[in-house]
Amino acid sequence: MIEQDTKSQALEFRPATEDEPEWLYTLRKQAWERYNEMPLPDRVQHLWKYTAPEQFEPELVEEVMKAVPVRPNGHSRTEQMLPEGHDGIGVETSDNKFGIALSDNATEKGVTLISLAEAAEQKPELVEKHLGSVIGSDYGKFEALNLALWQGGLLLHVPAHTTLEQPIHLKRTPGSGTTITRLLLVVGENAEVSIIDEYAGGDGDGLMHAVVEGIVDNSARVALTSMFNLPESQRLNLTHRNRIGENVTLTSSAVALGGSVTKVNWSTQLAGRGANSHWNGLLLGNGKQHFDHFTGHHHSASETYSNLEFKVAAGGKAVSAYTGRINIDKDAFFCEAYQENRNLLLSDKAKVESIPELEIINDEVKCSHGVTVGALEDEQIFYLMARGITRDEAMRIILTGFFEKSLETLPQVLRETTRNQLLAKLEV
Amino acid sequence: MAGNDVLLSIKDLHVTVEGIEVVKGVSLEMKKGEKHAIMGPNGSGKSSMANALSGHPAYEITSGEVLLDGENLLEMDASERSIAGLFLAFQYPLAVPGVTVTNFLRSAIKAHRGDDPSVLRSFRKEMKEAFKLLEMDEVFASRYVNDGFSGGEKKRFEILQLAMLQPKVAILDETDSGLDIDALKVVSKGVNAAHTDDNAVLLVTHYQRILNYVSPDHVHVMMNGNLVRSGGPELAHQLEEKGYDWIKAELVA
Ligand SMILES: Nc1ncnc2c1ncn2[C@@H]1O[C@H](COP(=O)(O)OP(=O)(O)O)[C@@H](O)[C@H]1O
Ligand SMILES: [Mg+2]
Repeated sequence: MIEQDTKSQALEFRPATEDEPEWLYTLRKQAWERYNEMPLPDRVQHLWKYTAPEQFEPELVEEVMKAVPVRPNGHSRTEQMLPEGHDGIGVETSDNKFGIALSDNATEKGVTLISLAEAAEQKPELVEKHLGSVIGSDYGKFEALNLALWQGGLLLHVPAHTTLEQPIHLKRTPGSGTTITRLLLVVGENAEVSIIDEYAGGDGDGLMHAVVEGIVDNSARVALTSMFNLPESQRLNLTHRNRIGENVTLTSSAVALGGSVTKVNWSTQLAGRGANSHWNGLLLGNGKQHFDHFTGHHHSASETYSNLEFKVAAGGKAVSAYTGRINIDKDAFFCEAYQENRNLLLSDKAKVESIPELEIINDEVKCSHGVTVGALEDEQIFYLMARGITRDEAMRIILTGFFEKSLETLPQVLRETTRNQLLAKLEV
Repeated sequence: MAGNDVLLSIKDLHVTVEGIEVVKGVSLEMKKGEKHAIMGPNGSGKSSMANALSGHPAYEITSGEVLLDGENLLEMDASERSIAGLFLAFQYPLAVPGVTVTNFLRSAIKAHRGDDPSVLRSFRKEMKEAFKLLEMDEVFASRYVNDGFSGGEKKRFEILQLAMLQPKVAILDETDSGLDIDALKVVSKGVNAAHTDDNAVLLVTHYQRILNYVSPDHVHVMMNGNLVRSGGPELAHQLEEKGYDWIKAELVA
């Protein structure tokens, strides 16, 4: 570890290209220094208690550095069809190929979806203002790494007072080495949009570091769906944080099915009076999959509301560790925060952990949290079997029922495919 | 050919739950077209017997023989028993959150009849008719199974399933308990509609109230894990008048 730190420190941190803007180079270089200064995350902290951080250290930082174009000339665009029922799509693969398409409607309304490198050149005012503003280099070692060395990444900007009826689907596919990607999401005042943020596909036993920064201005309505569908050879470390303004409604869904190790740190700061955040997640693990989820609702403004429901089913030797935090600040009055985590153990060897963390420095709140852990009920299985349904089918039906409410929170275009993915995974 | 008319034949049935014997040698025979009632005080083993017959894993059959229309029931698991033609209306039906009544019924019908397009085509129509028979609103079709149903709604839904699955032998465990008089009439109507000359019904009940609407040919009294008395419908009336203590007293004497 120490050896590696000195080694990477010895590497010269150069501008990605000759004409990299000064502000960007400075931001990245500072992040690089922070990355080298910071030790690996402390295992005693809840955030990394259940997952060894070592496995997220890039093996060859030199290689990663070489792969950093951070400028548009380092990557290429490929043709991309806009799938039916979407207002936009952005596909990014590990070899820095981008396939991006927007509907005419979205283009006319001034929506921007481009690679982050293009954005630094074409929309410097947006990127300079927001990049690293929600997840900066002090956030943590891997977040600093991300800010220093992002190779790909996307900017999605939805201007104020813009409504998009159909979702924008963003998909990141890792390769066999280390992939570092970043999404900057800027939603203007009173805008309305549905975003699908997917990590899927790819082969090889790669490692993906991802950061999502969401900046949502007052009165906007945002649906944000995170899909974790990586193959079971891939590790993912994602830090996602949103800052939402006054009267914003943020509706998030998460579907965690794939990956060998999936570490997700999701949080939202309810920073404006009257902001709402709903989060609904489902997780189905089997084999030797390891999931480690953190969610955080940080109420820093008065009259804010959060609600969170996480359904987990673990079979095989799968592990799911979940930490759910609620923070309510001292001067955030009349807030409501709810959190519920239900876990089903499908085998004796599967393991789940659930840790609620409440930090509420205010009396004027309504708050509740609940955790259940159990197996499928024999009585319930018997009820279905007594109607002629086989045991295996009965278990599948009960499990899909367990996930049904979460499925219903997904955008229409994902519901059937996700239900089928769940069913397919339950077959094994 | 009287022998072929026997649909359910139980011989010397012993059932253990949690290591305790709760059914202690019951024998019973039901023929096509018959309706039987088993009455008995709480804790006498009625539900244990019904559950054991249906293949509930917690109720172990330690000895005895059970044939359903000539087939050995005890070699089958619960789902196979259902396919073979046995039906249990649960005393306490279970909620299955997230699973709609329609999907649940479709899965059950598919299990019984296969998933031929013709089966699935007639399914909707049959479900509609069953809703009508049990006087249930069709909004129930998209509700989750027994989730938030009232006691009466649960019991109606049990009989709705009976009507759709058309079993050879139906065991109704306390289907009457907790029903008001109107619901009792509706449920009884459903049971009577499902009963034909080719099947048999076993009513398990604590009270004789339902027997006014579904009139049994044979009445058995169960006490302490055994059938202690069998007779015609008049036995139910005697019990109504004199209570179970009357039989208890006679047994001791
Ligand atoms: N699942 C069970 N676990 C433990 N004991 C049970 C269970 N089911 C029934 N029993 C016991 O078996 C006996 C008979 O109960 P039951 O069959 O429910 O009677 P009934 O239906 O006639 O009221 C009672 O003593 C009851 O406590
Ligand atoms: Mg009972």
